[in-house]
Amino acid sequence: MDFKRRLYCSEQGISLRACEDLSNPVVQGRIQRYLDGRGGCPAGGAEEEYSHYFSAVFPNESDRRRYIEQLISKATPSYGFLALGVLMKVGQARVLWTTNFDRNIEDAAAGILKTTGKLVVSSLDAPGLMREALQEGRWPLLGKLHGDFQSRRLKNTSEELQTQDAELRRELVETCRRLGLIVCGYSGRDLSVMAALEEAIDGGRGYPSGLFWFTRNGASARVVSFVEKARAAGVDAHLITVETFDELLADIVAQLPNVPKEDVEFLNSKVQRISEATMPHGRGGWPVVRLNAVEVIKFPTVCRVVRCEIGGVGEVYEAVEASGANIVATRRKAGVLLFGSDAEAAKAFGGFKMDGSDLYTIEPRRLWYDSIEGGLIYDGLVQALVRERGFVSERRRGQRILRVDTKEEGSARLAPLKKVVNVICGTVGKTSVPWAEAMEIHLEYRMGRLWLVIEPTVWVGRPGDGEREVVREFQRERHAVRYNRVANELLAAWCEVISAQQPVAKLSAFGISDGIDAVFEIGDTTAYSRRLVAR
Amino acid sequence: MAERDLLFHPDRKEDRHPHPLVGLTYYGPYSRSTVSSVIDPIRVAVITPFGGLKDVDRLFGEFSQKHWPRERKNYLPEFQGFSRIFGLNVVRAGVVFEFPRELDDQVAGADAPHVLLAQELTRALSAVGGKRNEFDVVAIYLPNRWERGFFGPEGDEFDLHDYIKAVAAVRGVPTQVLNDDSALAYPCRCSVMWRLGIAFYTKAGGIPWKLADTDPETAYIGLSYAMRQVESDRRRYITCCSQVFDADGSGVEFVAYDTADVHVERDNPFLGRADMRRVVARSLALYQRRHTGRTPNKVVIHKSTEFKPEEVDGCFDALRASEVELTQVQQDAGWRGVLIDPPKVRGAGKGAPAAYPCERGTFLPLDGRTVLLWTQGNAPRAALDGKNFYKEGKGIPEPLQLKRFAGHGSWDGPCDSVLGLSKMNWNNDALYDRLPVTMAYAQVLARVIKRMPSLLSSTYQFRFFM
Repeated sequence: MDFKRRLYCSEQGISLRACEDLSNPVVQGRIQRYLDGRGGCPAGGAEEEYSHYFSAVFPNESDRRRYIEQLISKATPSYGFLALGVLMKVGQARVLWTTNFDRNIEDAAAGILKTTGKLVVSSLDAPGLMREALQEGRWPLLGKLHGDFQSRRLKNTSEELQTQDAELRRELVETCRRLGLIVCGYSGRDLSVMAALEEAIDGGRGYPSGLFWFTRNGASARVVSFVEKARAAGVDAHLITVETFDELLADIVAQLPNVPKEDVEFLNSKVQRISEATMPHGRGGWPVVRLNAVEVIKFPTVCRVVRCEIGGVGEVYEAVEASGANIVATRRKAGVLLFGSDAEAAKAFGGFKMDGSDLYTIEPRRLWYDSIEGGLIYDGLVQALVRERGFVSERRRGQRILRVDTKEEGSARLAPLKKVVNVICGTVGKTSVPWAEAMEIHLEYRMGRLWLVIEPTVWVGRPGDGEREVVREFQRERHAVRYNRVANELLAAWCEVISAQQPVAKLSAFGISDGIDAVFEIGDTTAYSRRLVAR
Repeated sequence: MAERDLLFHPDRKEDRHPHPLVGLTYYGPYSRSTVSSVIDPIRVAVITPFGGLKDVDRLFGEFSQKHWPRERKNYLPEFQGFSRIFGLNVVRAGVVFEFPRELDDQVAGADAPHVLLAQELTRALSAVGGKRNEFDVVAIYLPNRWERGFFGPEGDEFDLHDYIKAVAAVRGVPTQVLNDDSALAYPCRCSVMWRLGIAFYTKAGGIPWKLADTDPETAYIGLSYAMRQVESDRRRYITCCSQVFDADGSGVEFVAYDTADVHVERDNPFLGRADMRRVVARSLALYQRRHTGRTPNKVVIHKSTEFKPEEVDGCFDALRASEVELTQVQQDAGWRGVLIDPPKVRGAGKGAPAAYPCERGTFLPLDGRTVLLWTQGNAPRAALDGKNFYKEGKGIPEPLQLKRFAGHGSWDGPCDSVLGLSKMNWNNDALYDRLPVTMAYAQVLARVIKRMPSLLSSTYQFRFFM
């Protein structure tokens, strides 16, 4: 299609860019209609199309070579070729034939066999090599039916293709008579190759190990007829649909029991896949982006681990809830991890054959990602904010929302919020649904520090029938007017409520002297970032 | 990061503008000058309730008129008429399916109006589909009086719009739904004309614009998942969708792929290595079919959930010949930023909050692997008066969090491409979407795909889903 496009664009005087998408049926149709009307071109889909257009666009052999060189200069073997290399190594692919010019097979073989010496390559320059190697049983072998792009005797157009090198062709017939054949990624358009493959049927004596022709979306009539002919002659021949070469080869290798460990590792080899982006440095200037995060200066580094006979996290939560014990707990392999007094822990897990308890160290690196320990610290912080600041906590979409308690509406500690929004809780108009100012909180470990991320929001209770839209609209409107300035004031107000106007606020989840408490120290300055290049 | 320019001509690099509608007004659509341009006129078949054809015809009449904005005045330019802007006409085709008058009463009285409408619309689409060579797009008028059938009852996730797309996609028919609220009776006709104009043009196969200054050797892939329940079967299928884009944001085709080799964490499915390899290899093949078998130098994959190690391995297996960048694009990471301007008097200490929020294009690295990027925000370069334009006009913008799972180098590249791809939703007249098109289309696909009874072939064109 690329050759057709080049011909069309050059004759029509339009740019290649105006004709970019070759998978677009409109583009394909228009070009084909032009070529059909132009005359002197083979019918669409005809076998000689490729060679006709290639020589029409590049009449000189040197131009053809340059075109091909350009196409394949960047080619590196895909997963499928490497898998093919493994098949060569374990003796499951002894003889390979290709009509391609690139060096994907050679490169993959060199990578897997760790040498370029083992694979015998026979191209148009040295067709005799194939016969010699076959006679001596030197595997693996690669026959390049159209030559190598570096070979002077590049074959590429009908004239050349039809006089396919007699010797290589004879060896192709010979190997097909002695072995089975898998064909993949080949359209079957070269008359001489197809004639050789047909000759090898040899009245049913050829392809003793079968013939398997893989195609992506339907084979050409010529291929279908070839496979049918082989089957009629008694060959175990099949036409099979497959999506991609890489998928097919990966599936085949996955079925082999004897792939050496080092080859599996090579196939899975990891180059360096990721590197850290450098953090910008320099003084920076205005404007500044103020972030909704304050530093958690101190946080627990140990918790209690209780060994007992209990199931997973779900059962741990159930046990805590059923017993009414005042603790936060989770589960790891080592046991139940928790914060709270020992007596309360016994209240929750006494019925589960408790078998001792100990201290459990929480490594800071556990907080870098979404870990069990990170979850426990998060729950501990929620509990501390509830206990010390009088919030009500609720779980939404896996996160916690802390809202002001309507009973605390008049409390002095909520004054900073009131100053910004006047009213901090109430009932949504025309409904009986309660609402309250709230914040969703997250913990994030960034640049070696733990941050409490505060997202101011408006909490609403569950709406009754027919109330949903009114409640949603109320929430939307209340959020909508919180533009940059108000958002700034609201953020400052929440920080003030959390810190209770101390530079470093100390909060503990239980305020206990026995067991293990979750104690936090939270700063009152929000994180910010300056513009790197001042405006 | 500056607002990206859009390109409106394949060869004339100077036909560019950051504002999609201003660019269309000045230069016309991109595909007007390509071989795949849309055939004039765009013929629109109509499915309408009883007596609705005159309303639809009035709408088509409006396409030839000029319209001035009554809203978003700092963004919307005057609509100068469809043929003046797009260089061709849009007409109502002779193919019309009008429902009988009784359907209105049946919808009003039905116990399950959504089921009734779904059945009737499927029937109508089949009838219209029989004359596929007589039209390019089907407009489906859903009047407000059918509103009770637009969604399922509580607990039923049915959505008539998504259902229509699923049914029509299987038949290879692009559709445009016309509502009273958003189209026929919407007060700002200028808005309606821009939206529908671009939609009809795109759905008929046109390309309104592409991104300027892109690296032609880069491909983008958006991965998404949909959970499907097949009626005759109690099992749940995970469909993995992969949308493939050129660097300039065009090429919206995708592969959908059913798989069982997943593990689900908190309702998010994650693929095994072999399946990831398969789906990425197929996506690559899709790209290669458009580009004479060429392998892109670089492939960037976007996904809304993290990449598990097995998934990373699968991507690298399939993309051995290309540089690989894997980025999680997260919407609700919880971070917000308030913009603080310098103090009015130099050296007077603290600054004061700005009147407008953070600019679109601001990015702020949180560490070596995570960055916040404001795809929403103030966009002065797109304001018609050259001052400020905050599209959302509400609250403060929410940045996206980009997390890198493979790739190298600074944040400029990943941020620039996400920002650019956020301008490539052709089903829209806006300056940008919050999400890059790799992720935005993923959400639409996931919604529609889960209503499809079966996946037909391995490749789909996205215009059937828009």
